[in-house]
Amino acid sequence: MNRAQKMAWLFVIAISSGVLVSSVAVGVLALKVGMPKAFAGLGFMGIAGLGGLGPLIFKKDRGKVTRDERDGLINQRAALASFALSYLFVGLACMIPFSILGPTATISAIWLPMIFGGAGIVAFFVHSVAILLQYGWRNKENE
Amino acid sequence: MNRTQKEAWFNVAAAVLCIPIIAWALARLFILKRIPEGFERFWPLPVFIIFIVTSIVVMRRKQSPTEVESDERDNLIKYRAVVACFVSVWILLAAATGIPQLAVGVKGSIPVWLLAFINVGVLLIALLVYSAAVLIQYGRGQKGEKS
Repeated sequence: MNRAQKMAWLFVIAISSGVLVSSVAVGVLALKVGMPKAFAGLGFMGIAGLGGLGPLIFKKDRGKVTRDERDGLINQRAALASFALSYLFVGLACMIPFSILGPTATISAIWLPMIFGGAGIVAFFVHSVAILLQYGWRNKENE
Repeated sequence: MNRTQKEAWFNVAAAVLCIPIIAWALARLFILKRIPEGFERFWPLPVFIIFIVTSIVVMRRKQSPTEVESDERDNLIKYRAVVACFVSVWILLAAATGIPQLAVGVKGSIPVWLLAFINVGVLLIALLVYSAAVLIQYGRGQKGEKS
């Protein structure tokens, strides 16, 4: 498993954990204190930020060549997939309320940074999954 | 002019054509205070589909059977343009979601149509950035690109 795969795994685990824990927290808080305050449970999404520590945790691969053209192509494709799906998320997050509520409705401004944050999380998650898919989830030949 | 340049010019033309449509929609909503109803609300969708179909038909057609899809230089130009597009989208999205929230405050509310404008506006500007980056790299109107 090479460095890119290790960092991708860290991102996948950190983001999945963050989403899971914050969903549970929001659900529990919604039952206990009601909906607007239950959004405080989204604070657990900070767990996803641990994925950013990958470059510090995983040292650069040994050897003169740490990255070849194939690695670059895999990264490019993953970046493209992450961009496409994160913008799909933005599109859906913007157009679903517009379609359901109608053009004259209003929504809380708190949704705007949530859309931006959600798009960022989708981008990092899809980028990591795309890297792992292209290398093969358990492929040991990429070291 | 090669296929990538034609695509870029088509994108620029489509985006420029969309600007008066969006301006008209804004004027209608905020100056005339009239909410579109019925077919008026959905007509941009068929226009959008026409743009997509036209681009597929016109852009995919080769000038000659020997015309190659793209070479390494084209791919590098596209890659750089995509990077510029990515960066511009994230900056625009951060501004488009951050500024309204700062303006109305955390407890404020925003009209739902603003979300639709953010979505379409950011996409349109990203398309323009991509196309401009492609055209600038090739050199605008250079006649030597016949691959």
